[in-house]
Amino acid sequence: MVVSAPIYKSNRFWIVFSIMVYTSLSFFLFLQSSITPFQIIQSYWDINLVSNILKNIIFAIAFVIKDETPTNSGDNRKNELIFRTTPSYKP
Amino acid sequence: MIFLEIPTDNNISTVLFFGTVGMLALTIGLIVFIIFHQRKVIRYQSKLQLMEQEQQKMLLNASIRLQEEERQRIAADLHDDAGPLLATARLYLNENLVNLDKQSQLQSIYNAKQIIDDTIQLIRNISHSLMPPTLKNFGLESAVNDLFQKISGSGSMNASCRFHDYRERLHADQELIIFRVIQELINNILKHSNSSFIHLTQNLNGNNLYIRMHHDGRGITQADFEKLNKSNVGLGLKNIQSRLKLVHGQIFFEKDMSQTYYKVTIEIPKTEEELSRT
Repeated sequence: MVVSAPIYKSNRFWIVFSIMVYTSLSFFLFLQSSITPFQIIQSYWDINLVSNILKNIIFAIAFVIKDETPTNSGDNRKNELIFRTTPSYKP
Repeated sequence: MIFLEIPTDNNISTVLFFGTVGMLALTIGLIVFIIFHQRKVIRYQSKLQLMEQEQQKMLLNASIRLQEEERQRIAADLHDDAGPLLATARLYLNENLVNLDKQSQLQSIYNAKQIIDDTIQLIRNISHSLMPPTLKNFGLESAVNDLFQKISGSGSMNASCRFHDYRERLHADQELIIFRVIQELINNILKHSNSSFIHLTQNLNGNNLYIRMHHDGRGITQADFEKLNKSNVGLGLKNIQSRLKLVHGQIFFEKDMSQTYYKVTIEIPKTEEELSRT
């Protein structure tokens, strides 16, 4: 049995995390932007800047981190099966 | 209903603040939950792996011990039986033989010949017990039939076997493993069960080969088997399991519906090579 590596050691996790953080922080800002005057929305625009910076930092982590999650390299029985290596039996 | 109200500055900041904080909390909560859940899974997996390693170690120990026992048995057979026989033959054929009269010489040679014949038979028996020639030449069906005939011939037990679907022989290594497992099971039945009959049947179902054995003596169930497998006793059972692991087979011990018979089922999947042959 192979013990799986922690999820935070995978780049994909960090990429998904960054998208989630960005979306969750800017979601209501974008939602409100259509019904709010531009001047008011501008005063809250810092939220978007912060979320953007956070997203970029987390993206950077995703690119820097070394992926340690095991890749699925197919049939594990291949190496164990002794009969494949022995010559075929001919009665 | 804050979304449907006419937006005011105050409303906007409330929606923005609580909405953003809520969404962020949800995101962080989800991530934390995933990480903690995965940690739990990893801990469980490591525990399982540790247990598996321990089991492997026990199986390895059992197979090494069994190998040593087998070596000791062969050594004892050779030393205690073949050794004295050959030494006696040597005594008959000593240097003084030339000085004896013709009658005594012939007698000595005849005696020595008899002893050497006995030794040949003995060594044949030892080699047959190591690797039955029937299995190698004629396959599992003949070897098992032979074994059951021998048991039946002893008169103490009624042994019968029937191979329903064994038109194509398995791989030689696989046949040997199955034969050893059957031998070990029969050995256990003879030693511990006190039964009056053994019946073996072979069937083919899909890609699996099934061998079932019934006996009416004292037997074990799957729970007993697992318990014995985890303990230090039950060397033969561990050996059966390690052998079956090589062919990716499984073994099930159960009691018959009528609660009178014990049933042992061996399930062996066909290898890809065999599947491509059919």
